[in-house]
Amino acid sequence: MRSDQPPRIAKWLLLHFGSSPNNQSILGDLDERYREAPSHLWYWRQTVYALTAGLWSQVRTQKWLTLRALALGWICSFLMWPLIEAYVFLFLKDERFSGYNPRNLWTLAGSVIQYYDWWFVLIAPFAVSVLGGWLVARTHRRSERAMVLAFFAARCAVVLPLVCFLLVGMFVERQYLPGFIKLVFGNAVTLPGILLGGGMFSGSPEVRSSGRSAS
Amino acid sequence: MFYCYLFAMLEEMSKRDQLGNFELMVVLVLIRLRENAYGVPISDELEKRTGREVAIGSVYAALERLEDKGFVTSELGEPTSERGGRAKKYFRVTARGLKEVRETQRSLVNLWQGLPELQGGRI
Repeated sequence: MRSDQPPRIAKWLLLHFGSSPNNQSILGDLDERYREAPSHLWYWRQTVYALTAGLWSQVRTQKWLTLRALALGWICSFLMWPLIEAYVFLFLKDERFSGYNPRNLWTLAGSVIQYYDWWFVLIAPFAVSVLGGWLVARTHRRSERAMVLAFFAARCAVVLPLVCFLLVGMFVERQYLPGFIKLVFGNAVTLPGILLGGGMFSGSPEVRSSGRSAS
Repeated sequence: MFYCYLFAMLEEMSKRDQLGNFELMVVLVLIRLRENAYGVPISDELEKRTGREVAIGSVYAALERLEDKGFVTSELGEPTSERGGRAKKYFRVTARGLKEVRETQRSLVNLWQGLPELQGGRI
């Protein structure tokens, strides 16, 4: 596939999620090479390599900083539970849970979550994850993109198996289907929340990164 | 616990101040290119010499490691329009980097000698 311009989505991804300190040089090099031999497939392949190699390089050279960022992000995520408990205590008063008999993990998850309101299921985890992403970015300014992405990857590593577990639960315990759907969405919204809080979508990354390198 | 183990392992790996296989190739290309060593010519030369596609992102990751080890220095050039207004970043091998390459060469030549399986270009 040939075109005068490099694939926009790939370029946008690299511009916003490239965590290498040389991200601007990489973008420039890719543009230069693309002009010589335009191939969307080549550009996409280079983008994926640049994203993964950049993140891995940052994590590898700043291991303890990454560990601190992950710990901070997770601690913030766990703040969600006291929030949920407060909600259950204040609004549901535990009455609707009386008499349920958790036979397995799916019953336990589905029977509790199905009583939560949609707005709460979506907004509480989203708000907490935005806060988590923001905290990680603010406390690791030297390499905020890499640290936010590391936290995002760690969150994905937990959310994806959980979603698979819930999808199986939808067949095993069909009566709790609304609860499972709420849990899937409640967990899924945490992923864009982290990126949004970490500032990955906002402002001009070029200006931000050049300002940082100048300081 | 898992994260601690993973990071302790990575810490141990990164303590090695030697040249990795890909890093050695990048340094040799930098020496070859002299003044014109930035991302595009480096990856072109690597592709030409190895016959394999090289990811520019991987080249920069290796260059960052080499810079951290003090084997390479860099400086920004002028921004150009064909690069979307972005500057080229030129890399150069330091005296310490050259010394390390020579030591690696000596070690590899020593290891290569006396191996009949590797003589005559056949394995």
